[in-house]
Amino acid sequence: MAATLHAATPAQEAERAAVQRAAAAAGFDAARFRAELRAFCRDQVPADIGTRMRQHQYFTREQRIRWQQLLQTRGWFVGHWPKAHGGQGWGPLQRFIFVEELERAGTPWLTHFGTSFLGPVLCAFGNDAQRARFLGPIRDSTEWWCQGFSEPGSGSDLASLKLRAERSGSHYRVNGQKTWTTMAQWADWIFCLVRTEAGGKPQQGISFLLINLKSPGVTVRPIDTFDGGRHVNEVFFDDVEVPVEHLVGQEGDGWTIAKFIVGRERLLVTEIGKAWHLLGVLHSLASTRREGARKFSDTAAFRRRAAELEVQYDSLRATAYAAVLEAEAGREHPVDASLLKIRGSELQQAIHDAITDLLARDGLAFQIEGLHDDIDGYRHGDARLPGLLHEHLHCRAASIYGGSNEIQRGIIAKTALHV
Amino acid sequence: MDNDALHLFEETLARYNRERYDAVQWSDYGRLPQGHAPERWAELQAMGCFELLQPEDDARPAPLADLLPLYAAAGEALWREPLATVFAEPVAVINQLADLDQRRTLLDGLISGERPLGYAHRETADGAADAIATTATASTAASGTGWRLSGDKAMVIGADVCAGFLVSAIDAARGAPAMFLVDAAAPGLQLQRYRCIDDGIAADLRFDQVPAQRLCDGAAAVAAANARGTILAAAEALGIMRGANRDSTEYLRERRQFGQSLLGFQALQHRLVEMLMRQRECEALVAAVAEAFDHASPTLPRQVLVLRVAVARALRHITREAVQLHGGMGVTQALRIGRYYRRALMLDSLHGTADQALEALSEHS
Ligand SMILES: Cc1cc2nc3c(=O)[nH]c(=O)nc-3n(C[C@H](O)[C@H](O)[C@H](O)COP(=O)(O)OP(=O)(O)OC[C@H]3O[C@@H](n4cnc5c(N)ncnc54)[C@H](O)[C@@H]3O)c2cc1C
Repeated sequence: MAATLHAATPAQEAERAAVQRAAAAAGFDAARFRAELRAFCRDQVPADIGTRMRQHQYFTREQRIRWQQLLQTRGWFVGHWPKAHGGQGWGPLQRFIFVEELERAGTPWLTHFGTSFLGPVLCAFGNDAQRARFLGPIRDSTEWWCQGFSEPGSGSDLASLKLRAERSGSHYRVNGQKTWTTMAQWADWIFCLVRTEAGGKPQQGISFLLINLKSPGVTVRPIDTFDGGRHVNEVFFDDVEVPVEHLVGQEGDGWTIAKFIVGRERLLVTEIGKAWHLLGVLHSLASTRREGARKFSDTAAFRRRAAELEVQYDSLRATAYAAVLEAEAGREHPVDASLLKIRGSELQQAIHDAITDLLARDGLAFQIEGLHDDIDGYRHGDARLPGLLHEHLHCRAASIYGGSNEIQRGIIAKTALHV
Repeated sequence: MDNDALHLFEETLARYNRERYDAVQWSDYGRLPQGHAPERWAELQAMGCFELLQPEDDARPAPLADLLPLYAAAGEALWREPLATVFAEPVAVINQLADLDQRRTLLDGLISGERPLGYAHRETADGAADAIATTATASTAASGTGWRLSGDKAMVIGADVCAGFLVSAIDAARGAPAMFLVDAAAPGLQLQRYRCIDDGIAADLRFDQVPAQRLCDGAAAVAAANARGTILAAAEALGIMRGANRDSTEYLRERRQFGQSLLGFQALQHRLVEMLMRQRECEALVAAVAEAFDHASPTLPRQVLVLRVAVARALRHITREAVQLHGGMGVTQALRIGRYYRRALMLDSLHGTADQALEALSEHS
């Protein structure tokens, strides 16, 4: 592993036998699939997207859509959906390899809300009319979805949510607020957890509702974040009318559906491929900087820190594949999902710390305009500086969103310690 | 300063922060072209803060210890004023000068607020902020018109308010580093400004045959300047730690989830306790090292490195935890928690990371 981590090209590591076997049982050749993905990411990334990838810049809405549509020309964007619903019927393993290789190449983050969350929810809980209406536009990336779970008073304690949906005839009237909604400023639709019934156990009165963000009464207001971005939002609902056909499952099914989604979110946020990509960035930065007469990458201090990260990385990758193989076999280890979320975020943060410590030697200029375009005029330091610092700051949220690391530890305690 | 005076000074500063430095004001000041509000800078001067540099006599410079409350206040409220141009590195360089009249003149320029000085030592290529290595060179022209300095300097803080710059460069005649004084308006000096991770403004300087005045040898001046800068940055870090710890505790006390105050969860209490312990350790260390500086302790160089390691680690830990404990609110611009985090990164960038200092400590004898 060490040698490959130092190289700028994708890993040449042999596929593990256990992975090969599981892949064969699922009907695909893991090594060949990886090779195909790597070739695609090498040859098919549009030039403008490639430039932003190299500079760690922020992708536009249009670039993200274009990339997703390109992936779907191979059927990959919704490869994990059942064949009956337009997917390829991939199991967890093939999907994981797919995401890992995209992340390794540094391609734009897949907007998971539609393809990874709502798509599978509609396949499992939706009705035919809902599938007919919504799956196609998700597959083709012609409708953008966002996730409306959190509220100002309901973060970790999600079950206390208050967004009210009252039935009146053929509609629900929705009143209240969601917050921290990622990319709502770009979205057409939001899937929401709403309260359809007060009283009783808080989890029981929660339902899952699809709401068109263009409906009268919806207001989306951006929240400025410390990474210099505007990618999370407050979403206000003032007497918004939602047709009852947009309720997924039955009233009261919301909590079950939320748990289904959150389980998937945790596997995805392992982002082991991204960690690999970032380690490559760290090594390349270190090899182009000098400490006296030596390359910085040759100093004992750097090599030790890189070795520490390699230990973390190898442990996490082994654990991630162990979890995926379990899932592929239809089992679930009680600790895995939360463990991967915790360790995945910790590793990414540790790598970003190492990268930033290195960049700090050149001076931490933060010319935010460089996130979106070449800096017009004087630029201090590496062209990747704005993007890498933005990613460092954004990555602090990885241990907060999708159920904070504290909440994950609580879940492990509950399931594994039987407390 | 005796205890009563100290107490009074701290109260004055706390009031100043309440009245002049809330979140909205902080943002407003940042949007000004200088990246800070000139009237705040003038007000600090009017409050007599600059007088803290007044030496007791020629042999005894003003104690560094007296500046610690000022820097802690600056840390807590995230002052944008270029304090360093008056209080930090320039003073250490000036105190190295053998010529007492020259000392007096330069120091008076700082205290009156008329001639703040930028410290232009760091170069991007050398990486470490502490390195004495410099590629800028200065030589005396054959015509005997004095020194001319050429080279690049990076990340100079407060360049906009400076009347001049203290520049480290190789004295070509001796082949050794020396400190030079360059007028801010000197011909051949170019300045490029940009925003930094803490939302402040820094500048890169390019010198092309710029007229310069040689002040003193370089190595000792740079060491003294960096020591002074490191200690004051540690005092600033203390202010950040106090603010971050106070805000986090109050936030968890107020924030209710699962029908109770989050501060009731023991797992979170222990996290806060760790943060508080680190703050306390750093408070003690900063006071001890400032004293060592004022008494020119022979072990000062090692003590400064120890201080840097301990404070950089504690500050990164505390600001990281503060973000985490605030949940989503921690990553917004609405609270100062996120700004503390970014300022902590900037302090690492200006004074060296914990790793760098630990490395230096392990090689230092
Ligand atoms: C960048 C970003 C993007 C997001 N995107 C979305 C999105 O698209 N859609 C969406 O619905 N939500 C989104 N979220 C919201 C996210 O899920 C919440 O921030 C998260 O659930 C935490 O809730 P909170 O912020 O209210 O923190 P709080 O719940 O107030 O927690 C504050 C602190 O207390 C800790 N804590 C809470 N309870 C306990 C306990 N019982 N024991 C120990 N510690 C505890 C937490 O871990 C945290 O450190 C996003 C958040 C961020 C930061």
